[in-house]
Amino acid sequence: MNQDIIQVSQVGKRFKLRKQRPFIVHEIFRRLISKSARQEEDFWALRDLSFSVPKGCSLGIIGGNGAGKSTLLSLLIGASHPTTGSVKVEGRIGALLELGAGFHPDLTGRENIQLNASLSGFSQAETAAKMESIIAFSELGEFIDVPIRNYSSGMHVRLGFSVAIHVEPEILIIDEALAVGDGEFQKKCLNRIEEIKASGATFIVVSHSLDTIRTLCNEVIWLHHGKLMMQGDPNTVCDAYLSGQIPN
Amino acid sequence: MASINKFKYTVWNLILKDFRTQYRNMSLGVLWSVLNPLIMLGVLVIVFGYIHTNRAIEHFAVFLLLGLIPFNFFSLCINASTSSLVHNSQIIKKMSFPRIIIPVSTVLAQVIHLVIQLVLLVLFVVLSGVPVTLSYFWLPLILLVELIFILGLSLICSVLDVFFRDTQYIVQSILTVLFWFTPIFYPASLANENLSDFLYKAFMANPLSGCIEAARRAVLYQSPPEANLFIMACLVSILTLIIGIILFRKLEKNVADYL
Repeated sequence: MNQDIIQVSQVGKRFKLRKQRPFIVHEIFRRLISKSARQEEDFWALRDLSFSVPKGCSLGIIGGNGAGKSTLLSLLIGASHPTTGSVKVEGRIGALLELGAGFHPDLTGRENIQLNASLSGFSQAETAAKMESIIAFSELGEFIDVPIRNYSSGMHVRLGFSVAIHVEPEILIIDEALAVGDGEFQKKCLNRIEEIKASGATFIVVSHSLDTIRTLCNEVIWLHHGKLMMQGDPNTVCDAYLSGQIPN
Repeated sequence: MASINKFKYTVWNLILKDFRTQYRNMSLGVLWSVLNPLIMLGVLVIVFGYIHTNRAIEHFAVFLLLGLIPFNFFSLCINASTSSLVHNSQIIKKMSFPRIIIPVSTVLAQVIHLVIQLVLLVLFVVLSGVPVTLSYFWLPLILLVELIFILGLSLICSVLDVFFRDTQYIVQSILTVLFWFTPIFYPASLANENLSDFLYKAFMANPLSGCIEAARRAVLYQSPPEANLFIMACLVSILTLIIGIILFRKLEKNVADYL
């Protein structure tokens, strides 16, 4: 039970910021003349971040805009890699990052489910077996065979959430998206999240709604400008976050 | 075994995706794959068959098709795969999977065009009365060599395009240049006569030239490929693929950050 399913140790993530990609001819001349360093600024989205998540934990991630929350999630799901340090994640991930992420607008809902499931590592048989229950959960009805460019944002979330929970995740990662669905669907999702948690899965959520965090999580980390400000139980960290924010 | 099957299933789904998104909004759909080379063929037959006459070459239409089809396939694949990572940024940024399946599936999605154009070739072979012999069995091998070359180049171009978006324009220019420097509407022997030895070797180092030349020998002259040239094409293709895989492996880690 005390086994850590996620280990983040001394992680730093650097992005190179450029106002625009350099025009190559101009860049060559400029460097010949001035010999100055490249006109790039390093931006550390995450710096020296270390924490671990035990199996079965429900972790909330809070912090202001630009705190590095989404960068952290993309490191956790393995879409990008840390510049320094290491991220270790063990187990199948179901993730819902942002609206319509990983979907192609010209494909129908059904085709997107198929593509998304196979990219998540599902075999043909597994996908076929899950298809009907994914569609049923999304409640999209006949829209399932319409290209998703015609979907409303709520419908996108329904589709994304349905796929994410049906990959039988050992780690379920949700980025803010819950807020978009209507009340009825949100309730259904929360029930489903509780079920998944009860089955022993690890749950990670990024949210600006501290109420959501307080109800869903038993552990919270607070990020600020890429650094870990605080880690602990939800009420302590959320209160500190709120009081810390007021002076600004 | 299970992981290979899953990999195949993923590639298959990406191919389906390319296909569906490419043709969903067109009324003529896959027919374009036949129309495009037919138009090109018509123009070349008129220009080099009637205006700038070249009566020396027998079965000129088949001769042309044997150059055009491999080149069209090459050009389609390289064009599509160069921007493949950029076009699939939505998937790449949000999911973790071996990035290499994106350019590979993009190339494989073009194979259907090749098949359709090969049907066209069969039609012309039958119509023009070129004898059908056992030497045709060289064709699959020749196409395989071309495919290896294409896969290697597509890995290189797709990953470079992420970090350096000018790549797609450079690739387009190179394709135009290559069209003229590949023996498509003239025989390679003409290049042999008129180029210095070194230039001719450089000319034939392009596996496309080697493949086209070999295909013509197999179909029109019922003979196996010229050993030196064909081995050269094989080696260059395999080398390109190896370089492509190494480069792709080296750069794929940062692909998501630059999309």
